[in-house]
Amino acid sequence: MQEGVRLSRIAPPEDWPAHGRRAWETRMRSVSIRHRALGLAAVATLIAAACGGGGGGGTSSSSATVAAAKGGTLTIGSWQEQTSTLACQTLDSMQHACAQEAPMFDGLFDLRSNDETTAAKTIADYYVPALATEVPTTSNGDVKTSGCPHGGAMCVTYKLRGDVTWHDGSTFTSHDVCSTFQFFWLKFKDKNPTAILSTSGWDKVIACDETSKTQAVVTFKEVYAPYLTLGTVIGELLPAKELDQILNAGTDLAKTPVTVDLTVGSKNPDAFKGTATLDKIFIGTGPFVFQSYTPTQSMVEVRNNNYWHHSGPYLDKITYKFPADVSSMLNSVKAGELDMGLDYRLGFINDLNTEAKNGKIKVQVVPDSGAEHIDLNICGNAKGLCGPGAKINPYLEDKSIRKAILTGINRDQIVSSLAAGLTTVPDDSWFYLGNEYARDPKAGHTKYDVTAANKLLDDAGYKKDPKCDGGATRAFKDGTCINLDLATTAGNKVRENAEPLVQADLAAIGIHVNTPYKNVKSGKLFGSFSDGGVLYTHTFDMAMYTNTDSTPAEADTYFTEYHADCGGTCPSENQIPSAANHGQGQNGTGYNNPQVDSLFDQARKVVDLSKRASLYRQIDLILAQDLPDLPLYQQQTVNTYTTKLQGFKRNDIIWMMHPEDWYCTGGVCQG
Amino acid sequence: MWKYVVKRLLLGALTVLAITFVVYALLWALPEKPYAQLLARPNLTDADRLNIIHRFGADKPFLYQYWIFLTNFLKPFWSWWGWPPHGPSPPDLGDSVTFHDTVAHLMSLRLPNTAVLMGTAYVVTLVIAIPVGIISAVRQYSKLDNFVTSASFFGISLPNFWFGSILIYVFAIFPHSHGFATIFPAGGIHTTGLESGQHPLDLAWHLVLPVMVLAVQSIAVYARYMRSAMLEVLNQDYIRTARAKGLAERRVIGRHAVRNSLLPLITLMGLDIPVLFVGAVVTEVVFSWSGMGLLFDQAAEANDYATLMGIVLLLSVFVVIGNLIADIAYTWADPRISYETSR
Repeated sequence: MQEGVRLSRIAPPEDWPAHGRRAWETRMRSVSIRHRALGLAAVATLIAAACGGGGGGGTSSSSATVAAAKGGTLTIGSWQEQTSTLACQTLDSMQHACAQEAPMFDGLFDLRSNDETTAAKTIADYYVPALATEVPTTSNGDVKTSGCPHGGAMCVTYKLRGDVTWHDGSTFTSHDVCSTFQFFWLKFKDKNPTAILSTSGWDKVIACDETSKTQAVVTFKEVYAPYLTLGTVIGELLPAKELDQILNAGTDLAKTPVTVDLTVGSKNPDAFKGTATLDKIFIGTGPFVFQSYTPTQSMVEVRNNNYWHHSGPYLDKITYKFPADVSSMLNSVKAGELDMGLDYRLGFINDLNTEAKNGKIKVQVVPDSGAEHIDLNICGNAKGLCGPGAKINPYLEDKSIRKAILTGINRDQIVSSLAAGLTTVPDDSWFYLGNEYARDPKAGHTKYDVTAANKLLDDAGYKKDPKCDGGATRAFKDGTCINLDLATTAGNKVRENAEPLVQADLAAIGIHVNTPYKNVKSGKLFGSFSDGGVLYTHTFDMAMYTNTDSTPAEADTYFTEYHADCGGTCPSENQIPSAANHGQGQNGTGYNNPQVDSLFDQARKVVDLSKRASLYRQIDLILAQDLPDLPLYQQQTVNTYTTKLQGFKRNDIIWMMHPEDWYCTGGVCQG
Repeated sequence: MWKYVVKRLLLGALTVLAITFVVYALLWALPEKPYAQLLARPNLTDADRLNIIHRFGADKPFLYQYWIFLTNFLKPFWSWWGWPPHGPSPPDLGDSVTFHDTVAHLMSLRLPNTAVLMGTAYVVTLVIAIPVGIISAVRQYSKLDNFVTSASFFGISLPNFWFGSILIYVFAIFPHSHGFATIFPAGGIHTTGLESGQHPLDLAWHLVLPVMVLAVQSIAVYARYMRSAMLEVLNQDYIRTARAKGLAERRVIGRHAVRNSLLPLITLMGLDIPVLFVGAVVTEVVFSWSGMGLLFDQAAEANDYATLMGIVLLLSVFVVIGNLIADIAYTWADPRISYETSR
């Protein structure tokens, strides 16, 4: 989903590329993950936090050594109110809902913080065990592609902790894992009475066996390489005690009342006790337990005094409030009414930095798993796959022009002027962002060089022509003046401010960018093919927006972005939307490279994570050479938090990372 | 009178029906469908897509979809009046795609918040604007009148979002940044932990700034109306006659002038009644006031057609009711107006 401007308030994020872009789902999908440090690691975390290591985002705690203190209420502003407590990924995919539910949830695995994955070699390096005791891989024997039960093509063994209690007082066992798989697919298949958002991945499962209380074996009908994403997302691990009632009755999870007493499992008398549907309350095993949710007002989570992990959590209570928008949230932060603000737009960064000078708040900048980039329409190379309605741009078909554009845009200037210098320009392919194991160092990083860009165009035979803007613009080989439209999401100030910079840079190399710009509402830019979305009907020359991973560190996310029809041999897999394939896919540029198609296909069938990483690195290198899109800068998530809060790590997907490690100086979060 | 009221209500019902059709058609014609983002998500299986399409009835023609909406909407009325009789139930306005809730329930959560905010602002407006308008008219061209006139134009010219932001800065941000407690909160309806509705003082504290924003503009408008209406009445012969009869000025103003000056104000008040329940979009957004205005804003951004339909429907119903109330109030303010018989 595109991000950049992550969501509008309610469900449909204003700036999200609707079309399936990744960010939306991505963030959600991930969120569960809170990584639990073990023993010494927890101590190390606290020390690091006290020394500033927990600050993240380039900010650091000023207090040198502050002992972790229990107590305190942290009030968090989250400007997109959850539509239900199942809105993270089960019924919807709201990133803010994930943040709101994260402190109450533990997945089978947790994600590591961004700072711990910069040198990741495989996708497994992004995960640490949580309710599972180890991350299943082929190397530890937990993932097998032969000898599986039920005749499956792949099976995954989940080894589970035996000392975990759900907030409702029941013990966490393999039955919870299998009930969850029953709910998402095995019991109802595609006729689930609950309107779950997606069955993708779950629908590969053919059986879940409880081989012991602490071990479950899940069998897949085919090799499913992204198996680690199942059971980690918030809401994708449900308590069997309540879930079995729904499974037996065959009713809607969101409409079936259950009676629970969360004071039992959490040993906190302030926790929720009563009858409600599971879309109004939340039952997890996390460090905080549900107390109340007052729609439109607040959600309160209190400390789980029976948490399985270590001495934490420290905070007494976490309260979420739902400001109407980012500006309102910022006002409340400035007025001291909120101790933390989630998900500001990058356009607020200067204002936030100014506010941070008062010493009361810190600004956390988290690199996202995607880049603000410019899609180039190269449907002319797509052999008709873009369909008859697509715009064919002869100029961008030529790789030398694409390379000249990349070389001629001063991306460092954009970073410094629009992003306060707080982000970086990626390699020529941004495919590896958030999936560092997929980075090929040979992909290279093109520097801004007007002379080199002009030479590229000169060498390709495109000379400035007196009839083109009085000689300021180059003529193409057919005699036409090289001119391009530029589109982005209307109303996004950062993007709108970037457009004149790009226009001026391209003018300097003799490429004319037409004005007015072709900016449209986000819904129109990212609208589906059937709804006439600009990207997916290929009716643009250049389009500026952001994509991020839809699943944590999962490079397969970009299958829909770059895959075509394997040179004609796999038409059903073609991801270039057109009427012929019923609008399938998100390959808006019309990028068509059978070699890349083949690599994506191979990576889907390989469960050896090292081999997968190798395949994705090849894709990264090819994309850097082909340039179907041009990265401008790595997108950022911006949060603020009170300087009294310690232990807050950063992760682009799980904003609420390790809340069990958080504490406020002196046990008080305000002031 | 009752005949007139019934006739107006019937006509109003037809008006509301016509509005539902027009609004439904307009929303249906928009290029961005409410389910587009759901369909566009990656990793959906074919079955997932079919489920979404079916859920929204997206595979059905417009008239069929509208008919479903209409019958669902009217169903509670049939059952209420049918046999065996049922208790009143809210009309089925459909489900919100973005909130995963029924529109009726969503609105029931927000309506009280808006009613409190707008009602308070409404009362404050009337309590201040009417006396100010009267005094301003009675003392025409005095320093007070000039001040009121200037202040009114200033008030009318204040953009809500700007004025609201200034108030937030002055009463919340500035004190906090200088080490003091905030005088009034920057937003919200309740202090955390006091949401139960049992803390009217806390609610009043949160009401101050948004009410100030809403009332300042309304006071300016109402005061101008009141002043001009009063000036017109004060120049009438019957006022001169009343004075000539030796009536005290207070009685002339209070008994004869004010009542007859209320007609234009009643019109204005009638037109404002719908706003009491539909809210003020900008003010509610600026102050994070979870009312109908904010709901409308969120629904519009999310292409949440069902919610938008519900709000528009509510608005149209109250427009009809507001106008009817205004018409009836005319007869109280001016006994010469009667709906009993045609003359």
